[in-house]
Amino acid sequence: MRNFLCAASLVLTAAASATLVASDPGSGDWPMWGGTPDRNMVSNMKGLPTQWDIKTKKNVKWAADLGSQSYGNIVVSGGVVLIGTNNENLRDPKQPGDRGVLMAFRESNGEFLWQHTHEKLASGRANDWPYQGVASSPLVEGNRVYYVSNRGVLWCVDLNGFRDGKNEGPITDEKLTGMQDADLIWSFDMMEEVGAYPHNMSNSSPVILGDLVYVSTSNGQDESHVHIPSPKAPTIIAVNKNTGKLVWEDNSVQDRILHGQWSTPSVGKIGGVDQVVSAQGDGWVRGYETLTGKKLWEFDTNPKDSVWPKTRNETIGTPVIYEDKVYIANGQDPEHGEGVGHLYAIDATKRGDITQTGRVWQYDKIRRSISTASIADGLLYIPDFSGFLHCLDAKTGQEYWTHDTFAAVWASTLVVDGHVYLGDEDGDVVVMQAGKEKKVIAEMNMGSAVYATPVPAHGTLFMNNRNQLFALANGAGTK
Amino acid sequence: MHMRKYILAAAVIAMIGAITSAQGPSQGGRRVALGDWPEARGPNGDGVSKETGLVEKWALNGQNFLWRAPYGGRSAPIVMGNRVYVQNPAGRGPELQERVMALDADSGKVVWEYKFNVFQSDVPPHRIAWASPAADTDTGNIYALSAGAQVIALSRDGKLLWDRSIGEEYSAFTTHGGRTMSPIVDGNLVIVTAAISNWGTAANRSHRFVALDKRTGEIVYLSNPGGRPYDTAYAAPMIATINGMRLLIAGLGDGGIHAIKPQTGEKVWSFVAAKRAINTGVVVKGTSVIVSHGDENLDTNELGMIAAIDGSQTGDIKTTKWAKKGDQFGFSSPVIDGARVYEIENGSRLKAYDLETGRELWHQPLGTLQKAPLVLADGKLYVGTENGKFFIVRPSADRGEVLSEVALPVSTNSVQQAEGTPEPILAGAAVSRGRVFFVSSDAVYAIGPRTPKAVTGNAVDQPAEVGEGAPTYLQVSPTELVLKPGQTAKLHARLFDAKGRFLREDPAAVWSLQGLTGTVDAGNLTVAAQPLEQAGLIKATAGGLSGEARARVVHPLPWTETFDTYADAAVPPDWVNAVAGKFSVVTLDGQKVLQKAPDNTIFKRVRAFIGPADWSNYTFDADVRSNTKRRQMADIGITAQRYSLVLYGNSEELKLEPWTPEVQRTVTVKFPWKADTWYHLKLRVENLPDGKVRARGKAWPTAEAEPAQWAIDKTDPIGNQKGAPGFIADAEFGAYFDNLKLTANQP
Repeated sequence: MRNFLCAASLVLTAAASATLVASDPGSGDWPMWGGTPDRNMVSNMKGLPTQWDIKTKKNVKWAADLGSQSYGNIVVSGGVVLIGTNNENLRDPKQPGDRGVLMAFRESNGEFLWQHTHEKLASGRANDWPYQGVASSPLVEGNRVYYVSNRGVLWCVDLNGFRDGKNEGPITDEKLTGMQDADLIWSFDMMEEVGAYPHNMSNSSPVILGDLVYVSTSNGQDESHVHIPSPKAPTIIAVNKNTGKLVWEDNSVQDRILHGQWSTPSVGKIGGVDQVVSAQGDGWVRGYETLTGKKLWEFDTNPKDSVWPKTRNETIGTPVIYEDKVYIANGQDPEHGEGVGHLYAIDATKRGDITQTGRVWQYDKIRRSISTASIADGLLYIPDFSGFLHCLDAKTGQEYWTHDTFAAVWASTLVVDGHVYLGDEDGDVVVMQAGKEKKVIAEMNMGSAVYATPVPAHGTLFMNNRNQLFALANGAGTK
Repeated sequence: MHMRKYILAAAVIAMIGAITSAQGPSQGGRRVALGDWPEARGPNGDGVSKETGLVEKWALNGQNFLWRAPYGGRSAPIVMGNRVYVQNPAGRGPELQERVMALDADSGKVVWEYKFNVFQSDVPPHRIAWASPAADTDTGNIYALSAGAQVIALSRDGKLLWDRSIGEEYSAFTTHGGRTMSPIVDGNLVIVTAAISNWGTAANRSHRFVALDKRTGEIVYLSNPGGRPYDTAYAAPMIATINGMRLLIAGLGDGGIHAIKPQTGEKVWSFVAAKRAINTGVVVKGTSVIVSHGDENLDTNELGMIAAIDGSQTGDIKTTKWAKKGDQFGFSSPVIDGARVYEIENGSRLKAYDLETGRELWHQPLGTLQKAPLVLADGKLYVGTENGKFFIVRPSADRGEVLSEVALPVSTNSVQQAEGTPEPILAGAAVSRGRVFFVSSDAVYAIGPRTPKAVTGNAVDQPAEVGEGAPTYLQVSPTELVLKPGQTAKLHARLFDAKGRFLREDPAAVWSLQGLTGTVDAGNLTVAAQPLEQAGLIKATAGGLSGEARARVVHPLPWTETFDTYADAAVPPDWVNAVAGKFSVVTLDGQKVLQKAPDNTIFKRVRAFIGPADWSNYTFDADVRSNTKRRQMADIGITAQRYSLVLYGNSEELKLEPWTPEVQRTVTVKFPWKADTWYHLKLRVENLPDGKVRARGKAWPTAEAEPAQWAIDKTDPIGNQKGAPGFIADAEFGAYFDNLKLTANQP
């Protein structure tokens, strides 16, 4: 840690002046998972479509082909739409076979711009599950894109590829330098550098504050599901966003990982302190000082008498930071089926083990959930894997209503313009009225499973099913 | 001297083999009484019952409810006469075993249970007993494939007839996924499949069919119709006759659906449907074979497919009669109903298609998660969902009418991996004598009348197969032998016709040995008596046809191996999974040692076996050493009698483990150790007079003196009474073994 402290103090000055944005990105873009570092999926945008038809093309501005499975979520920034997918819609015959792919499309018309492909790790399912593609949602800041590949590498690439006529460095020896290839800037190999052994898939979506980019390593079990092959590898790392050098790491979990570590960190100012919040593989959530990695608090999301895997859960959804509190539900790998879950509001101004002291409320009527909450106008919306969407009072945890989608849900809600959008595994997207009264406005089918969360940008709603990306806007396409 | 017993037992087994194998393949027809459900997918392996007058509605503890027996599972029941047989986990924690049990069909009361250990397997406790048992309709005997890849033959009274450890003999690959296939009985064969590695020319890991003589457990054939497996798989195989040719058809781990001749294992055709394993069974009507999967197709970015192929073809089939892509049929097998086919996709939507054209006719949502296959009986579909509901649906041309939808109780004693939600149903139903039986995470359920419905006649009545014409295939059986120096064995050269039907045994076959020292005359094999390891082939030729069996001869005890006589890159010829596992002799610091090569593929963690599966009461000594990289070290250990003594590098522990994922059976002690340094492992296993097994282990730096005390001393109440010596290594960055010493226990 001593080495890192020196670098961290340099960052301090820059970060101190940075202010955190509100839960609406404010720019009309949606530049990261959750839109903002607090990961609260709400937007102030108006005029987004609540009805469309992908067969007749009503309100469909454009559609683009993806691979056969797309677990990354869409981000939109600088006129570019980015998404992680696989290589089953082969765009470059020189890069064949099963690969993770980050694809970039033009926001205005869906034109394919460039891609960065990643061969699968030879270890296969243990670290890099076949055909699951790039599962990280990128983060865009200026003209730089940060994301984690299926090989456990944190990448920084150029938003505009080589189309800006420049090969940005330090990496300048790319083998592929065409207009449809990625301009690579730097990379940080978490397996090589910090010994991460990602379980099944590296999927962390980066978050940035000041000069530091934070990701989870996805360090976890090996295929035996008993052993942690790399108990000395960290759960969370902070890397300098300009140089790609490690600044701090934390491994509070050590060998207590229940399974994998697929939750993604959030950043926010809580009680006046900038914190990075990370839900980890032992089912605990931890808060850290952003610049130093000093652990501030930790909270166990499982009842003490719970037993993995029957009743004890991991944390896969993302913690949401809202008005000094952290909201998170626990659950399990969809492969494990349905089960009981727990949802918490945590007072993250507390310090130490705050499992008791920091519990504002606990909601146990949720089933296992891998989704992330949206909080708007004092109401919290969150689905569970069994397909129930829950609407609660964010302050008290009091339930207002639940809605059964009749399908498994991997996605999260987006709350925008008085509407709640949610997609499910049957490919249905339900649009509900936001508020204490339950009301279904519309339901549309997208043709195949919707695992991703809709994204608003510049009056258009972006959404993907397994193998297609849609831009939806009122008045677009056939009427 | 305990070894003497082993020799005696081996001689008896050899004699039994000589007597029974001479009878050759069964010449009888196949007959299944109406009312019996002898395999997971019913009398014809297609999920269809011919019974009528079955229930339309039932209620828990109410209308048409017969019984609930508290034995949860994840595989389908089978029924023979008044007995329901299920395969499930028994006990908990340190005494957890796998089990086949017979329940009284009228009451659900236990008639008998046969428990067996899971060992040297990666299947976790909540995923064992994935396969269903299968009944032999000739004898009523019951066959099971365990999570640990043992094939077990039981009499109808639950007495062990024989067992055979495919896991140790061929290094069957059992994964965390737990997927294992239900056996199928055909004539005198019981046929299973698994992803296995072997030695010599069969050392590659492939998803193979293994056919055993149902009377003796002798290996009759190993068949390898497909390619490299992506995963383990669990589609139920079925046998169908297409254009007069009997075919055993099953999807395997290579994404292909393969048809072989069931009595010989000869490949007839393959259709590669997906880039991942196939877990759904096929159904057949005429020449149409309905295949399905839930993963990547070869040619589109849509997931999943249901398709019809022409099963009268031979070779590699590349075309379909029709194919519908975009729905994931990953787990639940289809059924055919006249001109329609029904199947449930992963999200639990029941779909109906026109059998001729593939046109989708209707769909009916049943829940959100689906694993269990459909069963069609009396014009109704019987099926449970992973959401914990059991449905009875009446399908018609334009819709599926839900007649009954019963939510099971909230799970409180699951053998699966969740409690607190309605008991999930993962396997298919069985129909027998007016009743329907199914298994949930917590229980076996029976619905229907108190008194079994009287049924007469046969569900299946196929005449005996008679071979005719010229022989086209020569089978040498038993085809895989594990022998000790000087041992004899009787082999048979059997001729089959082009349709895979038995013609005759050929006493005039010409026999020869290849790579083996010994003699063979008229099928009588005697291997050399010198105490050396060897492996090779026994060939027979007759009338222009040739066939072969394979034998490996294991070094007797005491046995030391320093690798000094091996060239670099070599590996002892009879070691199982040593080639696929990338074990080979190298020179390290001037010494010949056995290396587990650095490997970041799935073979970074492997088991290899170096002896027969029926050794007992022996001690294994070895030196081991690990490389280090990326903050990580290897896990490296030795195995004796199904107990492994393993040095774990990353957790710095020494463990004695019979079954790695069931951690409550494992004994762990802290053991700080370093990379790039030799350590000595010593493992002694002995059978105690009271039936328990004592396993003791210790480790120390090779450069230091042996500590007097054992570090681990475990007396196992459910002990493994026998087992092969072997290695286990999980070594992404490489590890080494040297100075092996195997000795019979001294008192």
